[in-house]
Amino acid sequence: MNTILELDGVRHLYHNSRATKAAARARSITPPRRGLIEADIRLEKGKILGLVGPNGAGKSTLMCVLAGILSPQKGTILLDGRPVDGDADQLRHRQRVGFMPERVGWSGPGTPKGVLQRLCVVRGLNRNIAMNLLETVGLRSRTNDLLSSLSQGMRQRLSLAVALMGDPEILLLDEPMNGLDPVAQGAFRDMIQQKADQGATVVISSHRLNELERIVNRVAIMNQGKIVTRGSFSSVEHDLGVGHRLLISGLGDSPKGHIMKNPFIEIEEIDGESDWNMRLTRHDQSWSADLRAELVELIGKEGARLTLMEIVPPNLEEILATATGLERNLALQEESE
Amino acid sequence: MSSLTTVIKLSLYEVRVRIRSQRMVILGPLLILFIPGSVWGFADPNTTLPGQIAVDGAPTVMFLSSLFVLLSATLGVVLVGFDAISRPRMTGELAIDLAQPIDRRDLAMAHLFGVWGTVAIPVATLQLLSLGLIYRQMDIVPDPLDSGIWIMSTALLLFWYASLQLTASSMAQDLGSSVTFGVATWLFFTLLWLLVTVVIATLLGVDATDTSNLEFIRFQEHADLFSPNGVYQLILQSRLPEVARPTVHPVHLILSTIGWTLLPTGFYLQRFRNLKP
Repeated sequence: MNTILELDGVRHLYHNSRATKAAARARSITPPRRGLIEADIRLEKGKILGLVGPNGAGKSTLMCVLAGILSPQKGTILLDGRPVDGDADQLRHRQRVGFMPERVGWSGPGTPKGVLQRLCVVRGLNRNIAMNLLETVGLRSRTNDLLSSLSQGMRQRLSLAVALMGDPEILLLDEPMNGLDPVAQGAFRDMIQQKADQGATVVISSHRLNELERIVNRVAIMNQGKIVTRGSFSSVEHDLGVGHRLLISGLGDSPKGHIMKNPFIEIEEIDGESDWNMRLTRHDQSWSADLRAELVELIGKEGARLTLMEIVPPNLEEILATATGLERNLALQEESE
Repeated sequence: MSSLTTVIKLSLYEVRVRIRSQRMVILGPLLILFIPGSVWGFADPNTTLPGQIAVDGAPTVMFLSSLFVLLSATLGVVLVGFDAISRPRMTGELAIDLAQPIDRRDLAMAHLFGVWGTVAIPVATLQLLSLGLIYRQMDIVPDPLDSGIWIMSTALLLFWYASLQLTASSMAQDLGSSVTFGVATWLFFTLLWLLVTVVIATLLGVDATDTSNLEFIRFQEHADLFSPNGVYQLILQSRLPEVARPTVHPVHLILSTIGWTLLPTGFYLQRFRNLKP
């Protein structure tokens, strides 16, 4: 069996106390007053899952349930097909998970080396691995610096080092790319891919959809505490009915009039007169070779010359908007309330 | 590695980090001034104390210096422990701790022993130094039992304050409310307790206008069983010469000591077990 961790009908109702909300606000995280997550999810070995959703969807809470920090009130967590039940099972669960929470503001009188050495004690690991981890995440030169002197990017690196401790089989990373410079983001992607190639299961929750698209091979979309859809990009696109776009550019008279006569094709965007670009969508989602040939012929009849024809898959932002029903304006309005 | 070894190692790590912190640099001179300083003064044979208090032995010096322990060391625990839970919770470090394969009870105990040890270790060291001062000033070797009770009861008092402070820190919404709760608890037991005792005594018909009234003294000693500071002083008072010993029954004192050790710690452990990051 390829499934390592599974949430089966898990339901976690949480009522955030004032202290919890204050703690969340201190880290610039939107704190919901109360919420409910209901999730069925399977994490498969060697796969990288992207967890996306609007603010307050319950992603961080789901990550905490997956990490074994919060226990569900209903449903079962299965580790290697066996229910996680009781203290010993919970310790076994957490032993196999590396968790990087969102925006950890490392502070206080400690040092990066001290933090890792302390957690080595907790995990029963050799303290010498702390230096190797600091080297892996590029913090070797800041080993003995005070935590309060670290930049946000450095703190993210330290959190990542913590998640990597003990070479966990399941990596749960909540907004891991916040504060990382572009070079570090590239190195991060490579490292995650390497971990997945070695058989680790990775879950990344992020709002940086462009970056996420480059790493994950599966996606789960959350909205209002529920996983709306999940699977590979193509299956999610199919489930949601999000079509691929066709970008065409040409010189000469635009074929706009003829295209508009076709009831199955919609012109999403048009730009220019004699040197034009168009973005087309089809409600049945398909851009078959026959259809494209028909279009090329049509454009030729108009006396125009086609300079570009490209099928563009929907991006994660579009998929998210379709899955959650949130439009860009609406999403902004909700955030500013 | 057994869970006890893990707890000890984590506690020692916390002590190492906290003892080198800036607040301990400020607290250190205060402890030196208050603990060996007060012992030096009380043990001086030329000192005349107000209220016809006679210093007739090492236990009396230890008992008198307890007031200065209450003013400095307990405040030290408040200052060291006020953000022990609330700060990592706000920064997200607590979520990392809670995600580790360690029992929450062990983690909570490590925090508790860490905060306690940070103050208790320097205080115990200063108390040992103070025993030398008693010998130098009074030319008497303090009885090992008296010395042991003095050091152990002080350590116990600091443990009670540490568990109270960590409970407050786990409940606090921000660092401000955490320190406020800690200082308020300290003020209540250190400065306001006598007022509370007087008010309750008056309400119960005990004459509190004359503090030398035997009935009031008995009432006050029993009321002190409900205060960590009171229990601490009653323990030290029980080592004084016969005439100065408290009227509280030793069993009550033992029960109160056990209660102050188990109840706040139990409540703190329960809170930590249900803590959300």
